[in-house]
Amino acid sequence: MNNQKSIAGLLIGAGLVLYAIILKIGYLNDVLEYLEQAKTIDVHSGVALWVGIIVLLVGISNFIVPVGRFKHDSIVRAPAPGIGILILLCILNRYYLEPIFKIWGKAFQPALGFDFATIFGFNYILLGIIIGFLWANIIKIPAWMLPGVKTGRLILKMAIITMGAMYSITEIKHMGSLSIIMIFVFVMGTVFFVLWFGKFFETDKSLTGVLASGLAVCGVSAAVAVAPVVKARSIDVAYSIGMLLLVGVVGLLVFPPVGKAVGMNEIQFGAWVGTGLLNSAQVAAAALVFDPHTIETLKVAEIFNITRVLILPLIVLVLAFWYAKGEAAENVEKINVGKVLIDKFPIFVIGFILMFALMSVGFFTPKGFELHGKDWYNFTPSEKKQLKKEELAKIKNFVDSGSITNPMVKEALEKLLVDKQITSTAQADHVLKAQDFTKDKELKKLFKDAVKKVHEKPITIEIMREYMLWFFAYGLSALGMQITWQSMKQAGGKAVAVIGAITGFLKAFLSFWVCLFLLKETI
Amino acid sequence: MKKILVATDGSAQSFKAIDRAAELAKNGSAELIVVNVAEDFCPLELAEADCDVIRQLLIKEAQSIMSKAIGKLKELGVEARGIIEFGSPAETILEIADREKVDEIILASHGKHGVKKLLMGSVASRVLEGAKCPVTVVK
Repeated sequence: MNNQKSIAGLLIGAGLVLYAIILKIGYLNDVLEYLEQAKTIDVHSGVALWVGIIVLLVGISNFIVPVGRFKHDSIVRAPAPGIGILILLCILNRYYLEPIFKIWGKAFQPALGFDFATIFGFNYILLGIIIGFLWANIIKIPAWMLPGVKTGRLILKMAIITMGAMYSITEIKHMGSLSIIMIFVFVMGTVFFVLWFGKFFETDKSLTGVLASGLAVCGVSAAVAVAPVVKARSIDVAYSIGMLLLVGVVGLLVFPPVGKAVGMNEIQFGAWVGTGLLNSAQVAAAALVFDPHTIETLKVAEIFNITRVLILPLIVLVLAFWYAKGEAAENVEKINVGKVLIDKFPIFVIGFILMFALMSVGFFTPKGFELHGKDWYNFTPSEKKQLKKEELAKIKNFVDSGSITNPMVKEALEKLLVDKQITSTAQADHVLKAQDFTKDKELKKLFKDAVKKVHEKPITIEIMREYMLWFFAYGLSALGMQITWQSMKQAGGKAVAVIGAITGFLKAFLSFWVCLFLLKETI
Repeated sequence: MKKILVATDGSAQSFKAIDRAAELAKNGSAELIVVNVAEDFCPLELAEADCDVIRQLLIKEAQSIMSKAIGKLKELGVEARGIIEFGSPAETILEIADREKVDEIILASHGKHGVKKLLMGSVASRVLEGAKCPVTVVK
């Protein structure tokens, strides 16, 4: 905060409002039509308008009264201009640059032999990170934007909390047990590997401890969390942070194209980034670069990431005891196990769990909707969901033929004949099972269609998903601006670089094979 | 009485500056202020809470450097006052010099980052440029 009157917010807010108006009037319709984004105009102008109005109003106040005059200026008045710029950047990336890259990718396909935009994942998430990084490191982020850029971390946390509402109990159970095993093995494996490696290289014990935590758990924040308990010097922390950032950025750029090239599915890739990539934010980024428009990969990756973050207090304790073992008693502070566990507990996970709990008890579920497995159903009777007469006749023939040996299936089909549509999740399951009793492809399709007709996602969930993607796009663009070449250059010392590079690579490599060959199923 | 500011970053080089200051301030002929600037390390990539953890490490390190410096001066028979501050080294040294209205600044030509080929390091040269009082650069 510079205690000066600033016109930045006013100009940016006015720009956003003006853009929203131009969009509404329809001046850009042809362009958006060409970019195949015409359908997005409502959401997109809405975001521009509302953010624009807020930034404009705050901007006017910043122009009249210098920022820094009031106590809470750091919360609203200082960040507003930066927030406006970030929203503009998101709009630019999502609705203009991504479609342009898509068109270019197709255009160059004959010459290159592959679609570079798809293979390298040049979507709005990656473009946001790249533009942010280049901006921060080549042009420099102006001081008035910094408070806005710093909101990125909070917004990312909000995105992850919102994500809690996107899971069903089945998914959490399935992915949760998978992630607990994988994360535990890989985190512990990495810790012991780095400790052994440090001994081998005869690195300073404190430095080894910081590296072990950072490389094993969730990157920079884990390294910092462990620093005090292993009595690290600030220079050790600086070196390690630089190295962790560098390894993380390389991973972020390498993981998505590799995953695409070998044709990983969303579970394989999500599990791989969640295990093999270092920093939490980069896990979300890589998952979204891989698969930006459905959130299936992100859902898997985030479960892995949360499992990993939850294991951090345990690792802090393990490393504290490891450090204390060889030290003289007077050099060691007593470790308060309870305090470590509470201090290092990631609070946003509580928000995530709360959202999941609210979702599970149906808080966000509108009347008539039901979540079963990972699918949404709406059984409210309506004509659209009913099967046609000839279809019902076909099913009736099949039931009468007596080839169904399962009485539950038979009962479900008989009920379907009466109601003309499916009315419960149990019935839907049994109707799907009826496929096993026939070889007739048409009949099989008929059963699937009957279930498809009652499939329906509630609009509230769709809206939450859309907001969540905005949060991620915003937070990750800000993240790009927060990756500075300067701090990566801090990756000093031969031992730090060697341990970091080898461990980072091995972890990515091993988890890659595990995910590719052992995770065959889909949810 | 003359007021002398001596800067140290804990390096062996910077302790030469302490020796020099002790000579000048012997027998209570000058008031001595020892300054250590902790370089704030908070890259944008870190959360504020993480930066605080690192700051605590930095403060501990600064305190240990300071007690070493003051202890050494005591051995040489000189009483001194210590100041620890966060910031970029050269600017902070100049700021403290201004604030304390010192008559002389003593510092080493090179500190912990020292590249010996250069005549003097960046901190020494920036202090020399910006100082309003005589500066002694110890080689």
